Amino acid sequence: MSAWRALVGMEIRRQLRQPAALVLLVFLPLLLGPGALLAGSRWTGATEEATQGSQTDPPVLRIAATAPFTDWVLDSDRLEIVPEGRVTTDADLGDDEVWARVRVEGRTIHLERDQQLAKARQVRRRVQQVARRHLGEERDLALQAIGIEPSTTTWEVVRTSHDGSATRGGRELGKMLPPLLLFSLLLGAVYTAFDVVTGDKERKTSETLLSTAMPRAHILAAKASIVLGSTVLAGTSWVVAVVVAHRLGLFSGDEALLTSLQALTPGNLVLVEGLVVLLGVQVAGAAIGVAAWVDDYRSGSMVAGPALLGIMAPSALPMLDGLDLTWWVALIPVGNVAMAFREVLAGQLGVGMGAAVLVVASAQAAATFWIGVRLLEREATFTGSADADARRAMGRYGPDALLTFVLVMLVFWFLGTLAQRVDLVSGHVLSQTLFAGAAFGSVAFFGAPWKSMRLAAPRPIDASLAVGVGLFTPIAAGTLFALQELLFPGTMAFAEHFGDLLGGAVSSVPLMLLLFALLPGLSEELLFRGALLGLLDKSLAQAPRVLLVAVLFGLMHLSVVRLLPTTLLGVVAGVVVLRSRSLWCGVLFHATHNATSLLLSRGEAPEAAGVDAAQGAAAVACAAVAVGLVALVGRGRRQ
Amino acid sequence: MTDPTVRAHHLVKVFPGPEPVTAVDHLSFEAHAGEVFGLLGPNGAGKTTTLRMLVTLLRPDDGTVTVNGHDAIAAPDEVRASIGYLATTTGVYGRLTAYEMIETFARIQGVAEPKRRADELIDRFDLGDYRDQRCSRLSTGNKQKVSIARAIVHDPPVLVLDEPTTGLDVLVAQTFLAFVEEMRDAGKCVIYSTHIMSEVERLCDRIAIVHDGRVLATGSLDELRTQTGEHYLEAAFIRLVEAAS
Repeated sequence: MSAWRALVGMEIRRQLRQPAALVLLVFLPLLLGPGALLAGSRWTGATEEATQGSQTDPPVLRIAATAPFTDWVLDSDRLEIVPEGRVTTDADLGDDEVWARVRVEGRTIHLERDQQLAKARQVRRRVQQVARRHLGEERDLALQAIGIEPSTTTWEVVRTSHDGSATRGGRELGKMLPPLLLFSLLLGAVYTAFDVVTGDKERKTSETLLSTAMPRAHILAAKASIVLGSTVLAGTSWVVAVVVAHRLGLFSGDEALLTSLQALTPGNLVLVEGLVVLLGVQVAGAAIGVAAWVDDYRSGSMVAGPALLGIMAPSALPMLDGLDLTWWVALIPVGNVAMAFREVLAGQLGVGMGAAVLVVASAQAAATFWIGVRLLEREATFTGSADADARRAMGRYGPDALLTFVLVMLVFWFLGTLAQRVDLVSGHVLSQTLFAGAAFGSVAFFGAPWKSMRLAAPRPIDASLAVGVGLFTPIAAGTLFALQELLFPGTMAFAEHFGDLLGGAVSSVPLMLLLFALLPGLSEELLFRGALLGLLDKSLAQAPRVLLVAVLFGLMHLSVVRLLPTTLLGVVAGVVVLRSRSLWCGVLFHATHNATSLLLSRGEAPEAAGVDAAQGAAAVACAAVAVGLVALVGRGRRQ
Repeated sequence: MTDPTVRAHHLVKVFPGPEPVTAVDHLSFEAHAGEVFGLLGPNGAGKTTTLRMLVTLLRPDDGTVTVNGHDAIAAPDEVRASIGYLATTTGVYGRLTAYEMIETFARIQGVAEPKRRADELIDRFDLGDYRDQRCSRLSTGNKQKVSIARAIVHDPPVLVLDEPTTGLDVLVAQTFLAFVEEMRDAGKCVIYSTHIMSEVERLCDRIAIVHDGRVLATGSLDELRTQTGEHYLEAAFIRLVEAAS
């Protein structure tokens, strides 16, 4: 026991002497706590009038966005806009339930809607369909009646959720907090695990320690305790920061947040801290396992992030709309704790479910920790040698390419999409910058040759052909969407919603093309056809390489509905780049495809599912032309 | 003759992989208290792997190791308690001071009075001026002194030294060799692995010449000379290796 104490004491002393440790374990979580709340309040901010409503008309949430008013014109058959400009009737779309209500105040239109996002999409789509049928005089008269000048084109549309539950704020807040808490825990776990496990190899102290009389089990226990302790410290710092920020009244303007934070009673805080410990054990166990498995910091720095972020991926479960903490959800590792955390903040965690989550998560934490320690115990942990450098010297960067993809995706998923929820345009720009940065960063980090990115200028003929391909692929891709509707109903609704989202984010067409055509064309091609395809050059034959990168490209879009079309586009882009031997042809193709799609989708969206013969024929013809053009790319080039 | 303090018997270690490598191939030797036993061989001969099996860092695939009467597989903790291990791969913790490093390992090794022992070793190795300096800021020579102090902090009967003078300048190396002689005179059993002939000639009472994981010859310097008919160790070594190849 005294040896154990000596080792733990030594590690604590070492950590205290490392400024980075204090920053990662204490200061960063302290900042991330209130930071998360600020982000949360931005996203879930309640409207003032709503919070002042009666018990029967309780607080609702607002997701603010600006959209052209013409997209939001209302059906006077169903929605009555009264001259006072305050209240309209509820409208029923035949489901025997109130689906939305609309209120106009001055130049602001409030659309309160059902909490289910899917439902809200249907509502919005229906409103648009109705609006399209009623363009014209009738609408203008209705608007003039309440003193609104119809010629004004841009209005602020405030969409508000009409949930009817005071716990809504807590649920929304709870959606975001678990991943952010996990992020803090990861900082603590990863840093320390690598320092005390991989670091031991790196600075050659592992043999020093293992050659002592101290039993291996005690060494492992000491190291595991350190990692667990720092993980819990980071998580606790975070929880403390949230509570202190709340007590300091940093978010006094936001009633919904305050309501949810009121749920953090001392009793609940104990529960939350218990959850932090359970998560900490799981994360620490995983971190130890990964740190033991890698050979050195260089490999570790690439493996740890993706592997651990993958482990924490289920913590994003609370962000899925409509997912409740059911018995099967309680079985999902990490996700169960995250969901329980959300329910605590919403004041809705029942005793039975709470106990179940604690039991299941405890068992899972113990199992993860056990696996981590078993990995630490392996002989190879302390004697293995890196062969990664030898592989790279032979020009093979296959594992590095996959690690890059996973790392980028997880950062994109957690931070990029989170930022997009707060502000679509800036989140989008941030994500695209991440892709471009990762492209150059990965090639530089692994020391791959720059020429593998194929940045040489294309032949003008190939560049023209690439643009030509991009002009024809959107029709084929659009038809694929329509066909998918037969398999996955809701595809078209999603496509429409997606188009609306982009259209609603920016009103200027050139800006829209710049943001959603040129920028992704550049940054996504840099990452996928530039870095990843290039890194895989000597690891895979051409066809599987193009296909693999295309599938990764499809997966990047984080949508089942878009997986097939985007993967096929990835194949086209890959073939164009390889045939033309220039990444710029891929960029031109991608940007043209996006631009054409965006411009086409600004017209009338298809109302019905399915594809008629004419559409099908057009799609097949377009696809054939595109394939023909692709075949011409690179032809006649001097070998 | 007394029982050997260290006995390696038909040790085998194979590193798995697409093309498995037999690093140690039925290697045997015995070493006694009060002697320096040298393992002499070129790089990749299997010396380090052998020593790692002695110290229980690696588990032999076959054969046995006995140290101070303890079996390395059955009682690894006891074996390690009997050994002070120093190699190029046993580093020091840069963020600890020289004193903290020694004192911590005294505690880890279960020394009764760790503070007193650490002070004693600081004096023994003339580290007084550097007592409270972090190891990362120490010179290579002083780092090595801290490492030696760490290795013998529990006063073990066996010292396993794996190419311990690598990277040391001539003066520090001389101090180190003198220390090894001192240890032998104090009755310790020292296993000394090296590829430097002059160190073997100066220190080793008996030598095992190792090549490709096997012992080519064992004996005192004179016995090896007689066996090979060569006067110089280097020539004897080359003759043995060439004969084996």
